[in-house]
Amino acid sequence: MVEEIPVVSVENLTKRFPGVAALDGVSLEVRPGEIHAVLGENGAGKSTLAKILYGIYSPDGGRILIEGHEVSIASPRDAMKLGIAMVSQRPQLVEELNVAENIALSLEEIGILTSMKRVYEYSHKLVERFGLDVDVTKPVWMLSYTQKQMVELLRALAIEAKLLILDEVTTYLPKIVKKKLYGILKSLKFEGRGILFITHKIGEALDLADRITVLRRGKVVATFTRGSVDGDALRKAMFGERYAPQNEIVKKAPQRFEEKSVLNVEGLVVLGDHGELAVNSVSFNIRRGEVLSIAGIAGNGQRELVEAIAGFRKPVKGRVLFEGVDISREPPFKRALMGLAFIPEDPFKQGVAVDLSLAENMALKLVGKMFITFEESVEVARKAIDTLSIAAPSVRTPVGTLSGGNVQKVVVARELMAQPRVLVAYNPTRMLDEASASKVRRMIRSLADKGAAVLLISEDVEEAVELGDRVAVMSRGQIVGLFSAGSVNVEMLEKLMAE
Amino acid sequence: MLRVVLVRRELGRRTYAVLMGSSAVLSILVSIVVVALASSMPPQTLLFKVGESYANLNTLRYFSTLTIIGLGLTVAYSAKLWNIGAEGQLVVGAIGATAVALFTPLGHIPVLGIVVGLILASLLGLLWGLAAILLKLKLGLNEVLVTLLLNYIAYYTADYLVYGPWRGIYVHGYPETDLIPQESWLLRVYGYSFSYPVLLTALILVVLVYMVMKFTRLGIAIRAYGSNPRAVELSGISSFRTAVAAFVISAALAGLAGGFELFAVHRKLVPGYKIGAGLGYISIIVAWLSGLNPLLVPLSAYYVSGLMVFRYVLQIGTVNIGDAFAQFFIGIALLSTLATSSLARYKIKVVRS
Repeated sequence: MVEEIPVVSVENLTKRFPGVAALDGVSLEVRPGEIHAVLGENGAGKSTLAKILYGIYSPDGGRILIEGHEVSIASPRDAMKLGIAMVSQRPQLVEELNVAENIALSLEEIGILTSMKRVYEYSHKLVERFGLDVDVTKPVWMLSYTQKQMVELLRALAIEAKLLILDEVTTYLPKIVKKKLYGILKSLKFEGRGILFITHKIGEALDLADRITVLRRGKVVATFTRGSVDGDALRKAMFGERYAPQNEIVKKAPQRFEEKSVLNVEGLVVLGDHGELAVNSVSFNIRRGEVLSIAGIAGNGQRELVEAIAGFRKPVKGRVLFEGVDISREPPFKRALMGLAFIPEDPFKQGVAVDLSLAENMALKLVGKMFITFEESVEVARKAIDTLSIAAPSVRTPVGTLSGGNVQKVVVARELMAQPRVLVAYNPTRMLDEASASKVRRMIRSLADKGAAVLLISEDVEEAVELGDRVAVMSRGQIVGLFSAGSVNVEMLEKLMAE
Repeated sequence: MLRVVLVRRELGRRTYAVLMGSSAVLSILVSIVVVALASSMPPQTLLFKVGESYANLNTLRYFSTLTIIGLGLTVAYSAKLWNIGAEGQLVVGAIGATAVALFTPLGHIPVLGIVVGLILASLLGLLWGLAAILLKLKLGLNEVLVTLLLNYIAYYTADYLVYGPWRGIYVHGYPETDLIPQESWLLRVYGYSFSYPVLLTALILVVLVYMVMKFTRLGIAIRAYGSNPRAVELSGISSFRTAVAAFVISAALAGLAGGFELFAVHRKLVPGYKIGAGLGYISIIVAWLSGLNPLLVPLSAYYVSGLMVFRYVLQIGTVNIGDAFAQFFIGIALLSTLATSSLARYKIKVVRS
C-alpha cells in the first residue's frame, strides 16, 4: 500500500495549564478516509487536543501538519480555512438566526452580499444529501438539542471539511440518532475525509473507529488498529492501575421496603420550553431505600419531569409530596434544604458556578454554616476529589476550566455528600468514563441502602435495570410501563421505548 | 507572516495589582503628553502637578468616600447585578443624615446623633437599592435603567427639599438648609478636608467586605449568583435573597457614604447634583479597576482620588488652565486604565502563519 499523506498529523504536542500538563508529547495522525478515535477517561486531555486543532487553545510545544505542511492555527477561523471543522458536546449556534443563516455564517466564500435564496438552496441540498429531518427556515432556538447538533454537523459539512473533529458528540444523543450519525460518518469516510472521533465510551470506539489512540493523563498509551483489540485491552490502557473488574451491584430484596413512601408524584402535568405538553399526568411513588429508574429516549418529558420535582419548572397540574408534605410550591432551595438533591442535565449551566473555584463550589453546600474558613472549603473539596478522582490542577481552579466529565463529578460529589433523603438524578453517568460511572452507580446504590429514595433518569437501559429496584419507561410524556427489576430485561424495555 | 493574537489567561490578585498599577502610571503619562500638546503647557509642569496631587493629603477626602462606595459596588457587580445608582443612593443617604441632624433633638447629642444619622443614611440608601432590585426580580425590569432613573429622582428630591420645605432661615435665599448643629459635625483634620472617622470606617470596611465575600457562605453565594443562580438554589440558598442581599449591601454602603459626606464635608443639604457631585458615578470606575476584588479597592480609589485632587490643583494653581483641560486629562487617564484592565486578562502572543 502506498503511504498516504495524513490529513492531519500532530507531533509531540504539549499543552500545560497552571499546575498540570494537559497534553504531554502527544503524536498521532488521521489519514484520509479514516475514522480515528481518541479514547480516554475524563480529563485525559482529549478535549484539549481537539481545542488545539480547532485553534481555541494554542499549544506550548510540538507541531501540527495539515496534509504534510506545518501550520499554526490561532483561531477557529484559521481552522476552517485549513479545512478543519469541529462539532462539540454543546452546540455553538446563533439562537436567533434560522438554520440556513447559521450555515451561511460559516461559509467564507458566500460573502455578505450573496442572496439568501442561494443560501437556502444550498442548505436544502445539504439537508437532503444526508437525509436529515431539519427545517432550514426554522430559528435555531426552536430546535431540540438533537436537531441543533445535526445543524452543527451540517455547518461542518457545508465547508467541505477535510478533517472533521467530533468531541464527545454522542453524549446527549438518543440511540436512534447515534445510528444515523454513524451512517453519515461512514459515508464521509468513503468520500476520503478524515474524522477525529473523541470519546470516553469504549463501545463507540470499537464500533466506529479504524484506529483507536488511547490517552491517559495527557500521554498516548497506545494506538490500536481495528480488529486487533478488544474492550478489556482498551479498558486496561485507559485506566491503568485503576482498572479492576467490578462485581455486580447487589440490591436489597424488594419485600424489605417500608410501605411508606418518601417521594410521591401525583398526576403531574408539565409544559416544555415552547409551551408544549411535555409531561402528561405522571404519577409514581418511591419508598425509603428504593431506586426507581425511568428509562426512555431523551426528549420524552424526562427533563421537564425532574425539573418540576426539583422546583426549577412549575407544573400546571399535580403535586409533588416529600415525606407527605406538598412541596409543589416551594422554591428549589427549600427543597434542597429539606434533603432533596438534584443532579441536573447540564452541569455547566445548571449545576455549578463556573467562575468559582472547586473549593468554593463545594463549600456553597455546607448547609448551616455561616462562616467558612479556607481550610474547611479545601477539606470538602479534597474529599470530593478523592472520592470521584476528579482531575483538577488544584482546589482553587475555576470549575469552568475543567473538562465536562470532571464538572459532572463536581456536581455529583456536591449533591451526594450532602447526604440527601431524596436524590433526583438525570443521566448522572453519561458524561463519565467507565471507571467513574461505575463508582457513581455504587455511590447511588449505597445512598439508597442507607435509606434514601432515588429517582434515576437514564437513557442507558442497562444502567436503569442494574440500579433500579423498579424500572419505568417514559414515552411521549407518560409512563407507559412499570416493572420490578427482576421481572424485566433490556430487550423488553427497549422495545417498549421505541413504540 | 507574523500575526498578533490575544490569549485569555487567569490572573492572580498580586499580578493584577502590579499590572494595573503600571497601567495607571502609563495612563497618566499618556494624559500628560496629550494635554501638553493640546494646551501648550509644559509637560514637566503637569507632571509636577500630578505628583503634588497624589502627595496631597486632601486625596484622603475622596479616597474615603470612593472606597466605601466602590466596595459596595464590587459586591453587587460580583453577582453580575449592575447597580449604576450609587449616586442617587448617596444623595438619599445625605438627606437622611440631614433629617436626623437638623430636625431631631439627636442633632444636638454628640456621637449618638451622628451614629443614628449614619444608620438612617444607610437605611435610605438600602431602600433606594431595594426598590430597583425588587423591580428587576419581580417584574424583570433592567436594573441599569431603573437605578439610573432613581438617581434623578434622588437629585430632585434633594432639590425639592432645599428649594422648598427645608430651605434654611440663614441662607440668604440660597437653595440650601441651615448648617447642622456643631455636635453633629465630623471634625476634619486641621487644614485638610478629610476626616479620621470616615477614613477609618473605609479601611475597616475593606477588611469586612473582603471577609464576607471570601469566607462566608453568603459571600460565596453572591459570587456564585453571578455565574449561575441555579447552583445557588441547589446548595440550599435562596437565589432571590442572595440577589437582594448583594444589591442592598451596595446601596446601603453608598447611602452610608452620603451620610459621611454630609457630616464631614457639606454639613448642610445642598441641591442634589452638588451632594452627589458624580462621586457615585466615578465609584463605578473604582470598583471596575479593582477587578472586583475588595482588597484592591483602596488602590483604585487612591488612583482616582489623586486625579480628582489634580483637577482642583490645576484650577487654583499658578498655571492658567481651564477646568475643561483637567477633565480632559482625567478622562484620558481613566479611559486608558480601563482599556488595559480588560487587556490585562489576555496574553499577547505573536504567531507565525
